[in-house]
Amino acid sequence: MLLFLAKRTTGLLATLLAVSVVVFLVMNVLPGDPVLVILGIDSTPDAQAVLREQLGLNAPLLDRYLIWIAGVARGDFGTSHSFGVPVAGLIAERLPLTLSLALSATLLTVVLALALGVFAASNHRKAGDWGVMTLSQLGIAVPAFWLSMLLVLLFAVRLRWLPPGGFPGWSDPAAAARALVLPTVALALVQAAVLARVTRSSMLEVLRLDFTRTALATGLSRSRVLWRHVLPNALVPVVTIVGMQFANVVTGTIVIENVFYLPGLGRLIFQAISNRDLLTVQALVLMFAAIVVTANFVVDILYVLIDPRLRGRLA
Amino acid sequence: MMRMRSLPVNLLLGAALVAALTLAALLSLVWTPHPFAAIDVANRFQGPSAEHWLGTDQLGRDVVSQLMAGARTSVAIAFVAVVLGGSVGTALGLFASAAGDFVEDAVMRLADFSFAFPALLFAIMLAAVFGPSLANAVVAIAFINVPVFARVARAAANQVWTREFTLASRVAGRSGFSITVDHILPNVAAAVIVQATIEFAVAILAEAALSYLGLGVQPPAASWGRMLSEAQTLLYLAPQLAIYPGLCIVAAVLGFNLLGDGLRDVTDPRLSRRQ
Amino acid sequence: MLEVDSLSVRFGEAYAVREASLSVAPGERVGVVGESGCGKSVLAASLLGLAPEAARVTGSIRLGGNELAGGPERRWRGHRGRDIAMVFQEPMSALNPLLRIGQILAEPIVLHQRLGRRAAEARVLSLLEEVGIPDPRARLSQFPHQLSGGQRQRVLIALALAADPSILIADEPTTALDANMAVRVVDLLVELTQRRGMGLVFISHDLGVVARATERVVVMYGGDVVETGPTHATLEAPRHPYTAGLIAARPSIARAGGLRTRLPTIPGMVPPVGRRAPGCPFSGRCAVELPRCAGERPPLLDMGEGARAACHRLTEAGLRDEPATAPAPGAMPETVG
Repeated sequence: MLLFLAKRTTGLLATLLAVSVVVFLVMNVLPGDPVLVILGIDSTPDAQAVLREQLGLNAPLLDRYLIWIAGVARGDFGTSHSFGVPVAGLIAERLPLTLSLALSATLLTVVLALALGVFAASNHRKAGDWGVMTLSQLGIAVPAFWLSMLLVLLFAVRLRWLPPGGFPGWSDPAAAARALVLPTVALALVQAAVLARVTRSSMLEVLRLDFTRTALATGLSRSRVLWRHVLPNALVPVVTIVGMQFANVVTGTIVIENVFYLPGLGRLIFQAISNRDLLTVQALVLMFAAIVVTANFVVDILYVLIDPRLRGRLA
Repeated sequence: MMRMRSLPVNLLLGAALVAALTLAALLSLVWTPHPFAAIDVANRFQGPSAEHWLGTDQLGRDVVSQLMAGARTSVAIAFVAVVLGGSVGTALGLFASAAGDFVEDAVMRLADFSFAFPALLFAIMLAAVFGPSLANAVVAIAFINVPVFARVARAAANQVWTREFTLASRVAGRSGFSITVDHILPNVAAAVIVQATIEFAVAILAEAALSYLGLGVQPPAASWGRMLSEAQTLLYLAPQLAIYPGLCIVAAVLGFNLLGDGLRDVTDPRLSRRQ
Repeated sequence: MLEVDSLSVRFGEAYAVREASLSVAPGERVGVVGESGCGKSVLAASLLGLAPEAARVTGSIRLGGNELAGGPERRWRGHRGRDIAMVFQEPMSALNPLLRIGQILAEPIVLHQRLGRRAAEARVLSLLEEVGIPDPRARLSQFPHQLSGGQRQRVLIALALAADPSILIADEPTTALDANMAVRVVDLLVELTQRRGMGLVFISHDLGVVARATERVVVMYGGDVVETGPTHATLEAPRHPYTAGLIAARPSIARAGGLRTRLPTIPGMVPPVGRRAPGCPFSGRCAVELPRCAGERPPLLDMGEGARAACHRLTEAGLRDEPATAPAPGAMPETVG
């Protein structure tokens, strides 16, 4: 087991390294002169040379990569030229918001999807099942950002129950929570549609297996069999999907933060893009990609931990 | 042999939606009720009328024409991206399956690696470097299709390799390449086509998100996503402008998803009998 | 005491089980034999109220005097495990792969007998010993996939015994096992029922195993009970042509004619549910069929000495005492080769 973990962890680190290389290459090798971008086209060659030296752009590519990655390992992502402050600081400011949004959206997704999936499976071929299937088919087709607009139309414009956007800061937790409600719901509904289907079909698969019958025959109630025997088995393949879902949610926050004007990492990326602040974009893309990769890694491990049949094969 | 019973509902419904979408897209090349980019500020925010069936937007442009032009954008981008990414991915998957052993592992590992870069992230990188454009969107969406098709093609191909007629061909001394073309490909085609329709749906959603964020097609080209982002600032004034493009997106994506599901039901009867 | 009277299980218009009756007293061992498709598994499931959702069950199922058929799930649940229990076939997926053996067995014990953890564990260990599993303590923390097929079958038996039921139904418990293991499981079941004074309903398509395990046998075909009686008497002198055909079709080295004769078979196939004649279900395959057999269902007649059979030939004067071993076509001893 330890060997397995060690192998997987080195795999994770290797992947993260590879990701950093790709990000670096894409952002630095492709055409475009950052100095011109920063100073403007009509800047003097001297000023350009000075900045070039300052930014370390004269060094060979490999050195620049190593310097950058060493900095990243220390937590130093460089200094944003458009904001004038260290990128790490910018990230630290905005990370709590993005993380809260991502985590609460994932939580809501899982809760909704499990409830709907179990409900649909236990009402197989009856109205409840068709209802859930139809709803989820629609849910998959709806873009999260459009759903956000509809939610804003209903809850903010018409009913005025919730704010249409913006974030009041953490000092007032209640107001902060209210600002996160619509974004969380928008993200979660769309993801839950996908996850509910997967849960449902997994449940149906498991329900056909013999041990369901065995458990019933010993006198257990149908609901107990459903929740204590069927669901845990059905969740095994679902867990892998949740990992992917978390990655989706994280990239989804990029869009949603822009819909709701939330000052998180997603909005930061876009501000950086409009400012042509390549260093910041580079750092943020790396972060997001790292989150996706790590989430998948965690899920891989979980999968083996959950299913005893897989554990044996590692020995 | 398939009996000609009635085809599943989702297949028919999906096909109808997709057909409507494609028709609108193709039609927009030669005709729209009004030139879609024609600005007529004096007549902005008009409601539905005989002249403008769904009214006009904030610049007086005809909504129906914009929607049709947007259909063209979505279909074109989705098509190019999926065909591009799909061919590369399928070829990779077939190659991996034919090569076997550690080559297969290496290729699949590589394909899996690209899952770390969701389309959005990749498009962001490209946009930061090159500036936003239609080409970026296409490349980014094509990029994420490669590993998906590689996986599907490889899995399907692996199944075929173990069947008797393939083994017979190998014993007869035929090369991996010719076996792949003659035997594997036709059997893999069904799985790949089903995946393609689903990836079309994904591509349309991705393009909408990208152009919503301003990373895709640039004005004056029409796109449903861009229409939505413009409508967002006008939610209090003209909420209907936010509804139409969204409905189009939903209809298009729904159509492709249903079509894909229907095709899957039809080509893999085992699955359809279960649920 | 289990009494089944005129039990019918229908799927729409088609019968999977048609007016079957049987009774089992504590200590009695009754076998139910038939080919696949004869309805025996549906019958077994119905005895626990576990018939498929789409099935309509009519008739009477009385357990210890309580009428259960058509009753609410709640009532069934009160008896399942506690008074009547079932051992299933196919031990491959019959145990929850995520739970340890100890947990699986403890669950019904805790449910029915409300024991604390330590007492429950003691009981689990004694159950495992009772079904003959070596080193029970080690098994407690093992998962089902770590056990062999025979051991899993024994665990299933232990699971059924957990709450001390008075009736045990075994549905093809030996089908997934090799011959050796099958015999041992059969002997185990017989020993357990004798020791605990349980009634046993042993369902199988394997005549040899049924002969070994049971005192009375019920032969089913196409949803109908076609013959019942004391096991050995029925198997030695069957009254129904189907039973005779079954017996004749058993491969045996010591058969008349020896290894060079062709194995007799019953030509044709069991008609699927929904495509059965209104009369005798065996009509169309029966070698000694009468014209009235296809349209008229033969009643189950009392033949004396606890035997009953449903065959029109038995009511025809003159045919009654003819041995029902009239060979079916294809059963003529031919030399092969």
